Order: sequence, then C-alpha cells, then structure tokens
Amino acid sequence: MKRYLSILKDGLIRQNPVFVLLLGMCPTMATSTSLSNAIGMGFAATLVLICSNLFISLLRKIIPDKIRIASYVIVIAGFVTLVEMLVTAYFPDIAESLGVFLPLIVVNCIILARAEAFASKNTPMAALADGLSMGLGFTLALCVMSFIRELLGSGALLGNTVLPEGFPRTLILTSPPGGFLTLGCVIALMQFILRKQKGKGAAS
Amino acid sequence: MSENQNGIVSGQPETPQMPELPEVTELSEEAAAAKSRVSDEMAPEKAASDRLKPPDSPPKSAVTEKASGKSGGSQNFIKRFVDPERISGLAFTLFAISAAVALVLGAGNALTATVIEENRIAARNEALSAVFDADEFLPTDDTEKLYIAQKEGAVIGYAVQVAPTGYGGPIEMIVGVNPDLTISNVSLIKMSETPGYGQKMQTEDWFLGQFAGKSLPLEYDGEQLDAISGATITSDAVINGMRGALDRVADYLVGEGNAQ
Amino acid sequence: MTFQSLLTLSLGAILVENFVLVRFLGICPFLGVSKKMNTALGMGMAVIFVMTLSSAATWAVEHALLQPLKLDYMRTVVFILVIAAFVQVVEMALKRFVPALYSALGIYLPLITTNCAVLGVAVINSDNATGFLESVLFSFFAAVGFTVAIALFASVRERLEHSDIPAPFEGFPIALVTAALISMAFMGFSGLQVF
Repeated sequence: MKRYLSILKDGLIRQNPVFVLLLGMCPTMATSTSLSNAIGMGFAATLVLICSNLFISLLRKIIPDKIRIASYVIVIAGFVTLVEMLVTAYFPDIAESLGVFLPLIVVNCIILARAEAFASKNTPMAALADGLSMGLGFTLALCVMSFIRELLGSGALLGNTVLPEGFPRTLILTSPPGGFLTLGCVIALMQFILRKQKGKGAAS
Repeated sequence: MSENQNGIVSGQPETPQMPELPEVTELSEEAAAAKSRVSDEMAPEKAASDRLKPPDSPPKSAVTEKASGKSGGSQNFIKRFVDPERISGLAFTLFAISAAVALVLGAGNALTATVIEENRIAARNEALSAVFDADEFLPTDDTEKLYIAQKEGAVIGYAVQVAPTGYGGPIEMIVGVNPDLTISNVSLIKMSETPGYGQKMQTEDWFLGQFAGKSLPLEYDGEQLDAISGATITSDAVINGMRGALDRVADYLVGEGNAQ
Repeated sequence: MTFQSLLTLSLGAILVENFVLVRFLGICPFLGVSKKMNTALGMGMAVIFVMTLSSAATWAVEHALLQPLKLDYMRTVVFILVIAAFVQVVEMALKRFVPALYSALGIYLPLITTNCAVLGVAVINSDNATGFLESVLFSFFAAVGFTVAIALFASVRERLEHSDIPAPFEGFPIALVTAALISMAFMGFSGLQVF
C-alpha cells in the first residue's frame, strides 16, 4: 500500500510528467488556454493513461519484444478512440473545445513513455497506480498553466470574469507565445524549487 | 531531455533479451515445441515459458487434441507461422492485437454512435430554430445543407448549414437567408477557436449579429462589417461561410426558376 | 488549383498558421532536435518526407477503405499504423543510403511516429474533408513550416549555448522562452494576404 502511495505522490510533484520529465508539452501548451479545456483534456488523458497502462501491464508477457512499440501504439490508439467516442457522446462541449487534440492524445509522449518505462515492467496494480498518478500530474500541470493563462490573459476563470474591469488583461498569454512563455517560466520555477530542496537536503 | 527520449523508444533493433511467447493460452503447445527446436541458449527461456503455461484450461486442451489429430506437415506449418522468431509470428501477434482492438472499438462505436448522432441532430435543429421562427424546415436534398423554412405553408426563408475551416477546426453555423438574398440571422452550432480571440465570435454577440440584413458582396471594411481584431483566420472563415451560404441559396433559386 | 490559391495555402501553412509556433504541433522534436543546425535541418527534411507521403497514404486509406466500409471510428488507429509503417521505411532507407544522417538523428527518427504534427496534419485534413491534392499540398507546406521554425530556432539555440543564463532557466526553460519570442514574431503574419 505504501508503495502505491509513493507512486501516486511521485507523479504529482517529484516526477511530474510535464514540469519534471518534460513530456507531453504539445497538448499542455495547446489546451491550457482555459481552465475548462485543461480539466477536460486532463480527464481524457488520465482515462487513457490508466487503461493503457493496465492493459499493457496485463499483456506484458505476451507481447514480443521486437514489436512492442507497435503493439503499445495500437493499444493506446484503441483506448484514445474509445475515450474520443465516449467524450463526444456524453460530454460534447469538452470534445468541441479540445478539437483536434482529443485524437492527438494518442501521440502524447507521456502515455507511450510510461508504457515503455513502467507498465511493461511492473504488475498491473502498480501500473494502474502509475497511470493514475501520471495522469493526475499531467492534469495538475495543465490546471496550473491554464490558471495563469486564463486569469491573467482573459481575466476569467472557467468562463466567469474574475478580475475587475480596470485590471489589464495580458492577452498575449492566451495566444501561442503565451503558452511557451508560461511553460518556460513554470519549469524554471520548478527547477529553482527543486535545486533549493536539493541544497537543503545536502546541507542537512 | 535526451535521457527521457532514450527512455521512450529504443531505436536499437537488436535487444539482448529474447522475445517471449505470444498467444500463451491457445498455442503454448506449438510455440513450446518451436522453442525447443532453437539453440540451447533458450534453455532458461524454456523454463520460463513452461512456468507461463496456464494450468489445464479446456480451450487449450481442445486445440492440442485437434493439433495432434492433424498430419505432421500442417502442424509444422502452423508452428513455424506463429513462431515469434519469424516475421510471420510477429505479424500474427500484431494482427491479433489489432483485431482485438478493432472488435472493442466496433462495440464502442455501436454503443455511442446513436448518442452522437442524436446530439448532432438536436444541435442542428436548435440552431435552425434560432435562425427562423418557422413551423418546419424542409430539406431540399440529401446533403442536409440547405433547408426551406416554412411558416403556415409560406416560404419565409432558407437555412444553409456551412462549415468553413477556422483556426482550430471547422466552424459549423446555420446561416438564415431571406428570400431577397439578404442574411436574416446566423446561429453557431460548434467551433473550436481560441479563447480571447476567435472564441469571441461565440461570447460577443455583435460579431455574428452584424451580418443581419447584409447581402453580397461581403467585405470587412470597418464601416459595415468588422472583423475580430487578432482573429483574422476566424473572421475570414466566417465571412467565407456567409458568402458560400448566399451563393448556395442563389444557385438554388436559379435552379428552381429554371425548373419552372 | 490556381496559383493564387496555392500561394495562399502555402503561406498560410508556413507562416500564418505555422504548425509549431502557432498550432503547437510537433513540439517534442522541435525542442529536442534543435540544438544544432544540421541535425535540425536533417530532422526537418525527414519530417517533410514523412508528413507529405503519410498524409497521401492516410487520405487514400480513409477514402478507399474506411469511408466505404463505414469504419470512420477506426481512423485514429489506422492513421497511426500507417504513419508508424512509413517511419519504419524512412528509417531503413536512411540507414542504407544516408547513414551519417541516420546516426545523427539517432533516437529522434523513430520519434517522428509520435510527432503530433504528422498525425495532426492527417487528422486536420480528414476533419476538413479536403481533396487529395489539397491535403497533400497542405501537409507538404505544413512540414516546410516546421522546418523553417526548427531552423530558426536552432540558429538561436546554437548561440544560447555560449550565453550566461540564470541557473533555473538553463536548458529547457530558456529554450521555451526563446520559442515564445519567435512565436510572437510569427504572430505578425496573421492577416497576411497576398492578393
């Protein structure tokens, strides 16, 4: 149980897939223009991650090594399509705002990376925990990014105006350069915090 | 960055570790026999593969009986075909996985297709009603693009469904065209434009509303029609959609006139 | 297709809606292979080749196979398989004919499979339901745009190597900030109309 808890904690902060492992940046920058987009994308990607990690772990002894990447991709693509169908049917607004990035979850580096690095080498329960934690870490990263971008960029959160009218909106933040900029600064901040922690740990 | 990338995909085709058994449940008999043919290096693998064989399950023993009943020649062929060492074995496994995925997706599609279709029709009908206060909308053909809006038996206008390519995908709208070829109203079905930019077409009513009463030629001239600043692609897509709608109705009316 | 519409399509895909800097497709290789100009250009060439041909193949498969059989929902799976196969072919061809480039690209070549830009352009073409020629040309120009972006980026990063950068920003973060600035420059192209 302790092991699963530590896996869970890892994915959220210490091994956050976006800010620390530097994976999955395309969808992070593209779908973090608003908090609702971010939550929708995070939810869809987490679902795919959990399912694909679980199944790849279950199938890990059956898939021959030579074709493992191709097999993983097929399984992942299958789950992405399934999630795409479910989201389009039952959450059409989210599907609409995610646009082309919903099917693009299949090339989200995080999913293939975790399949290769973790799910293929661990038990199904551990793989499931890892999928959940990486997915939550990804969602957390998206939410942090979109919180900054939507609040400062359009003065709103979840579509509701939060900043008072007089407060200037830094529109550049919701546009593409803003995505790059926000991600760069947040990663730098993470690096700063991690180094400080390391420094404190070394000193004590 | 590089160490992460190395973790994702190993480009090296040769790996020190030999592949393990595919299709353990059904074909372990043939596969194990195939394995024993290969060199002695495989000995530890054979022990591993014996461990992996599931305890007696009915389907496996049924297959085994069938296989032993066949002549030696075809049994060898099957063994060689699904041997993971060979391309055919790998291809077979890939095919099996793909087939399984395809089946699951087929089931998923069967479950969700009706819901998705219902949503689509509901959204379209809602948009149609928003454009004209009509009793009914008659489709003119099978394409679901052009409808005649009728109220109390009289034609009050035409509704055209357009989907010009915007920034983040197609922008689906219903454009209402009056019989005098002016735009009556526009309603949005769906769009995936950027918040703060193209998405303003949805959040700010002035943009779509400004097209009411306009007819060809349509231009963003700053006086009659204004684009959304910073959302050129979205604005251009919308105006192209309007022009297309007006052309479509004009063509239809000409066709009708010719028919009569 | 008139010359005018071709020019609009090409400039649109390369400048106005640059795949990397505006649409955020293809970031991983963009950030990963842009440290040196020659690897960046090599990657760009490989991407042009793969994107153009694979979008031709995916268009053909969609219209000849998926639509007649009403298997539209298999789109994502089939597309990614076609792309994976193509990348495998390109890898084998490079290994045989241009081994220097093959070893320079190293791990990043098989990564074109997971390059969002390649699958992205196939899905965009499919969503827009454009004809064969227009789809292939759009993909070609999108890939050219990717190459332009990665080359620009590499030229800046080569210089950044020798600059004094605050510790937390070293490596990725400063690259992202640089990309932000280049992306901002590209924003100037929006509204570009040739005729």
